[in-house]
Amino acid sequence: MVPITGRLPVRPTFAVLLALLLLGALLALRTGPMPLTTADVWQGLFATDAEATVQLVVRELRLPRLLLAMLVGAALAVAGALLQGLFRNPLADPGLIGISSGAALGAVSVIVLGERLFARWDMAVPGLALPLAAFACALLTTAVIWRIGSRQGVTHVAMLLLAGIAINAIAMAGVGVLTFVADDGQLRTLTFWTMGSLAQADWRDLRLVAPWILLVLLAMPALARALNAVLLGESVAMHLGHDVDRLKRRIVVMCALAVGAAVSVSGLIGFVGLVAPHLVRLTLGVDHRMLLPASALLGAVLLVLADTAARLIVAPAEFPIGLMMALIGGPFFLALLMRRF
Amino acid sequence: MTSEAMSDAISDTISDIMKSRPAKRTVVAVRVPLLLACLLLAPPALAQRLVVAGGAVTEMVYALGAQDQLIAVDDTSVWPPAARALPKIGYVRELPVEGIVSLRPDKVLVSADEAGPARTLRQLERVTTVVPITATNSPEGVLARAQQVAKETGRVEAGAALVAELQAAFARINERLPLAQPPRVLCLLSAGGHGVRLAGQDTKAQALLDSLGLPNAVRDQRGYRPLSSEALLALAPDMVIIAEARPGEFRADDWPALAMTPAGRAGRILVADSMLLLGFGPRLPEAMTQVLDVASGAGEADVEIEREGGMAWSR
Repeated sequence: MVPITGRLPVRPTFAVLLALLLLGALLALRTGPMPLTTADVWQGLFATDAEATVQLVVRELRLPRLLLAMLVGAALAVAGALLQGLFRNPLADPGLIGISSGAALGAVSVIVLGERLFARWDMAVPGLALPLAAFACALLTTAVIWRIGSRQGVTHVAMLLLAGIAINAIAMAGVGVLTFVADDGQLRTLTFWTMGSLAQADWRDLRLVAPWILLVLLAMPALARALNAVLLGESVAMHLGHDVDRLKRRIVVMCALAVGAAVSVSGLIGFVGLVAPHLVRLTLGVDHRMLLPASALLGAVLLVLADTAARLIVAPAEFPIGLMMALIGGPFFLALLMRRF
Repeated sequence: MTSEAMSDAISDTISDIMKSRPAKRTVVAVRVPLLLACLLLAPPALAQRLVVAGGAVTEMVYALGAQDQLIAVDDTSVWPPAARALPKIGYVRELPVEGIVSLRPDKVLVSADEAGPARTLRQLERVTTVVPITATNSPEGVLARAQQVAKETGRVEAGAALVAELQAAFARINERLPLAQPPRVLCLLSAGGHGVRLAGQDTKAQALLDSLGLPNAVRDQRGYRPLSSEALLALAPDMVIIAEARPGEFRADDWPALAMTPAGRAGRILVADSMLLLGFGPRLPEAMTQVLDVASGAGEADVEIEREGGMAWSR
């Protein structure tokens, strides 16, 4: 069993995580297919008269991408930690309550049907259509699963999980149907979407998702104590004075908001939500007051590093970050697990 | 050609003379004055760093002899084989901004129908010149494409020559049209081990058939759709064109039903490279001629015929 308290002291661990995040951020700004010196990056960030190319690369490409990687990483990791705590299952992830499949259905609908739909009003598909549809469908799918899982104001976790499986299957069947009718170009685009990418990150994306994710990150400490109590069992938590149903509702809403927003701009990026909370649990223990913020930091670090690698590995082309994450994270996670046994 | 490239070429030629065997010297003796003449008479060709996204545009650049301007191409640029050796910028619909910017191109030529995402192109426009190359899938479209690429690469004379050459080729093809009995053609896209897909309306395959006035055997479907052996028999095409993504990818053994169609019995089956057939680049006349040869049953002697299980295969 994983011990309640970890092996590492708390404060130095947080300091190390923060330092890693800072280093990762510097690395992400400094490196890329375009060779830039630290002075160039500095100029690109702050000078008003920097060279147009440097300005574009640093201010419009690398900076929003870095911030988005941090936010998306934090959102996925925190959602993973919250759901694993709520379901008391180390394998729980946002996919369970339909967020990923819903977002996929929304995104793929826009990719495949968008052109024909918007052609009716004689307009091109607006850039906002895809993230908005993905976000809306993620929330909608989660709401449906939640409704099915709740009876008379009480939510049954088992019912929630089973409803999730069924609704996920239906949503993925929808994606399958759309894949079938897609033409060649759409097929390639939707395949790329499911592999996840931050390549398109810009300030508009950031404005679109940052409020939701930041809101969740700020609200999450309030749930830590109740989640700790839930670890002892739902009825114990209730007797300890926690409103477990309200907690469930809040967690599901928060996860849907954060992950729905993240996925709508980045595509499907798996594994962060699983690996970040686990690494934290292995080192710091399962106290959610530490686990949640540490997971957020670690998720951000992981995604920033993975994204930096994704930009470099096949430059000047780009590698999908979802694959990158699984390729680096998978073996690393396995090694860590095997060392503990 | 740039003046540096020119002087390089001259010094290459001179070192050739030093090394070459006597028999080669006469050729070289012609080359040196020719190169010098070029240097003096040639219009100022562009010395630009060019990135191309779109296989047909890349073919056009090579056909115009402007390949020394190329610094990188996308993944669909697979012809001529030399293009494969250039740095790759990834898939044409998912172009990376920083990757392209890092190459510091003077100009980016993108195929107007494929290149994207739009946001990437807008960002690129801030630091370089992005030129969408017209992409109408027809002989006229190919001529317009040749002219535009010639203009953008500064190879106007080579462009005029290429356009004249293409026009002559199209004229030769048009002399053979319309066919007395145009066959109903089924176009298939081979996807390696994943089976084949048929080409319906609104596809480049349809455009190829339209250019020759051939009817598509598939009337009621749009885009590319998976094909079953039974559907193949039901369609009963008089001719089948198979576009391969990789040479030798289509295996006839997997499709015994093909031999039972009118096309299989008559030996009207054409297997060719998909970039040749559906690229709508400078090789369009070649593609049209190959299709026409099989469709009209003429020129079978020119086409290499393999016999496989009693079926005629033209490659």
